[in-house]
Amino acid sequence: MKVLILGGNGMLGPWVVKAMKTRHEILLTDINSPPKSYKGEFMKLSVDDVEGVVNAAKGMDIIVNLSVLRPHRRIAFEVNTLGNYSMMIAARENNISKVINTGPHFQLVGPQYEEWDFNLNPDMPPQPGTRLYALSKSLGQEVCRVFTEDNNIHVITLLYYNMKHHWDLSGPEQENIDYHLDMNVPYSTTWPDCGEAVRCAVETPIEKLNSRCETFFILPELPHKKFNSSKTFVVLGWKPMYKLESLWTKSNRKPENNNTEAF
Amino acid sequence: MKILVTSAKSNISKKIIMDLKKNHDVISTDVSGQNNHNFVQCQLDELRDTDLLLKDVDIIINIGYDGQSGSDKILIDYYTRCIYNLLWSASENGVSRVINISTLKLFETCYENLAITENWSTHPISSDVNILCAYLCEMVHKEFARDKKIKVTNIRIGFGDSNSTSFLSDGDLLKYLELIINYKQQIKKTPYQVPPQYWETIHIQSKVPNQRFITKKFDSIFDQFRKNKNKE
Ligand SMILES: NC(=O)c1ccc[n+]([C@@H]2O[C@H](COP(=O)([O-])OP(=O)(O)OC[C@H]3O[C@@H](n4cnc5c(N)ncnc54)[C@H](O)[C@@H]3O)[C@@H](O)[C@H]2O)c1
Repeated sequence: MKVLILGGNGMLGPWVVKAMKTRHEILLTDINSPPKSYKGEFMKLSVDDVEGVVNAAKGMDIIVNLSVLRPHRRIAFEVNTLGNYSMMIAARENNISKVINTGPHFQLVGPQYEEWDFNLNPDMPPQPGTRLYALSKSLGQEVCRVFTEDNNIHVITLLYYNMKHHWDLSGPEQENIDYHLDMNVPYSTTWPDCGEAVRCAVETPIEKLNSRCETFFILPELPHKKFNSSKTFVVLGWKPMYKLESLWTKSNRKPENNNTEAF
Repeated sequence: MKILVTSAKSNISKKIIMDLKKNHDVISTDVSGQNNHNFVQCQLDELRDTDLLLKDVDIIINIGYDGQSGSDKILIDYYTRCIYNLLWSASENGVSRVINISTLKLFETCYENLAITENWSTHPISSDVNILCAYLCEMVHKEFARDKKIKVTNIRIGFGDSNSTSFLSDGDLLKYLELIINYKQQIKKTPYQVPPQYWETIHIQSKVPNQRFITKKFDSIFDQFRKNKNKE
């Protein structure tokens, strides 16, 4: 399939490209240039440029949106909310019937859910709260949903929490990870598994979807049952390779020094 | 009581401002236009201007539909980012309440004979960016209420001309709005009743033949208000 990727040069983009490049034709776009190691097609494109996104989507079968801007009071809305509007206009104008959107768990599961409840599932009404990143992404998600109500467009939204290397569970949050404290952040998924989830979503036939707007949590099955991802396995057929046990069992696995390249 | 009205250049604001001035201290604002005696020009950026605008304001009346014009991009930006900034500054500066004037057009595509109340899910449409924006604007308000940053009364008002089953006359709008400004949720904290909520939606339209939207919630508020007035 011909896949247009928006915002594909961030942290997740390369893993998505890796998961799909031998199976699909990819047009990668972003406001920044890709690394030299990227060999495919690339176009500079900002997601808030409605006309630009409409043009880039010509002849495409699917649009995948990986763009995000987190901390800026103006640009967060331009990328996370308006960007989705451009994407949906592009889908409508080009008769593209499938769009894959991505975001953080809290665009749906804000603090009013996360700090209170268990068995949180992706079909709940969104409660992002007022956090800038969460709310601007959630508004973008609602734009997508409204478009699916009155157009023949299917939107699959993949919600992630933390993305990790299976051999190194540290991250930008803290230098020396305190493993069980990290359970305050209840789900983490490895980069290759996150990329694979996008491939699964791209390849899931729309007949398997319950509605034109479906959301999925991307996490392995975890014993704390905070989040319920059963739908992800059944509908998308996503099978994570890693469960990152060190985060939620007492056996801390310290990776050996040279065991750092997963691929 | 000091009231701030947004989208000062729009027709609906002009009517509201003129009427409210009879009983309240009113200021108004819009994102563009001359800074003159009529309104304060403020871009609603995350800057001191927005904070200053809200100084000593008790209530904001926000025009949540049809208050702005421009491209899709400008409208979406206004009804998401600018409203976010407005409410953020409001909550930081002690404004206790906002009345968001949204629209019953959010149900326009529904069948006329449905008994639509405040408990029905809205039907925003993608082909009319103004309606989409009204929906997004409500959502921003709702999240501020959810986080208990500010109390929101979200009123959805009727539309169309005087022959329309959804009509709301200017006279009714102004009368009802005054009432909503003065109305305080009067729920006692007993085990049988919940404490006042931060988010409340009220539908209003005029009493016309074949009235399209159910306005019983507003009617009961109206009755209660009259009873209380009589007691006084
Ligand atoms: N990394 C994580 O741990 C994590 C966790 C949860 C959710 N997510 C979600 O995964 C997706 C990808 O995130 P990421 O970690 O790769 O983010 P990132 O910040 O690394 O990458 C985002 C990309 O978007 C691009 N971008 C910014 N503004 C743009 C614009 N105007 N037009 C086009 N592109 C623009 C950036 O250049 C960047 O390449 C996002 O939807 C994000 O919300 C990521």
